[in-house]
Amino acid sequence: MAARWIHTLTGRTVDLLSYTVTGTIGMLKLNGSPELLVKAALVAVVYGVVFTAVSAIVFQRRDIR
Amino acid sequence: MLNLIKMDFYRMLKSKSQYILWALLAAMLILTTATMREEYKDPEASAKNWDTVQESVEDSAENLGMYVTVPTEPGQKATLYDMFYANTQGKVEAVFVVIFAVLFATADIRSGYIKNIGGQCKRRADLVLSKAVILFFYTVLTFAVTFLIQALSNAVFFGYLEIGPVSDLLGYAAVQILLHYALALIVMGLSIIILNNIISMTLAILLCMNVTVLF
Repeated sequence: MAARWIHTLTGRTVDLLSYTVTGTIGMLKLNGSPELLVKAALVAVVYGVVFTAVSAIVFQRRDIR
Repeated sequence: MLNLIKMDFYRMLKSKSQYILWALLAAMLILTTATMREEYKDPEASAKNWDTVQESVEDSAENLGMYVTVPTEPGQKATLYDMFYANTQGKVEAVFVVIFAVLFATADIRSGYIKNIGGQCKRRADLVLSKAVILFFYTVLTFAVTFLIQALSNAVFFGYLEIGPVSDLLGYAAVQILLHYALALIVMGLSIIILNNIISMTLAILLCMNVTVLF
């Protein structure tokens, strides 16, 4: 749906699934290219860092109940 | 920080849920390997599966739900790499990683133990970072368990143990460990923000079932 909106707005076709963690887990091929592995590792690092940072900030600021 | 990691590591080793989840993962791997063996032995089903794998390899992530298919070319030996790939792509390990991530990330908050340790840390964010480190250990250990059970299952069900291209397998496994760890961190973040195990676990399992294809 989001990919269709992006296509309507910009005219560009974007494969959003290849930029999600669960999409990448399913997309990695048997005997895949090293470039694909590097891209998948980058996706993992970006999501990992962002979500750890967000949860650390939320936990730091929230009151303990 | 090191003391927090030690505390969380001890908590991980003492949590029953970890061992229960590993036992269930082992049962699931044995079941999927037994099912795949039946398909592998049937030439018609094997050829059909090979066609499906060849056709859908580009867009396999666009399927909603979970499925495990033999990716072995008909006539070739089923390797450990093939079976590991089939189960990992089917997100068998991912389900067990995310369930543990939800249980582990919220265990101290739910039990109230956080009130004892929260005041003793200089920065409470360190508690989250320590959990992130432990989730990495858990993900690596889960994949070690997977390899062990998969190798045993291959030897038992196929009657031989063929590993396949080792360097490709190592590269694929390393990236999949990173991706599963990232998924565990996403789920940890969601459960810390939502603070409701049922909603967090439902979201985590929906993520494993590729619910993102709907958006």
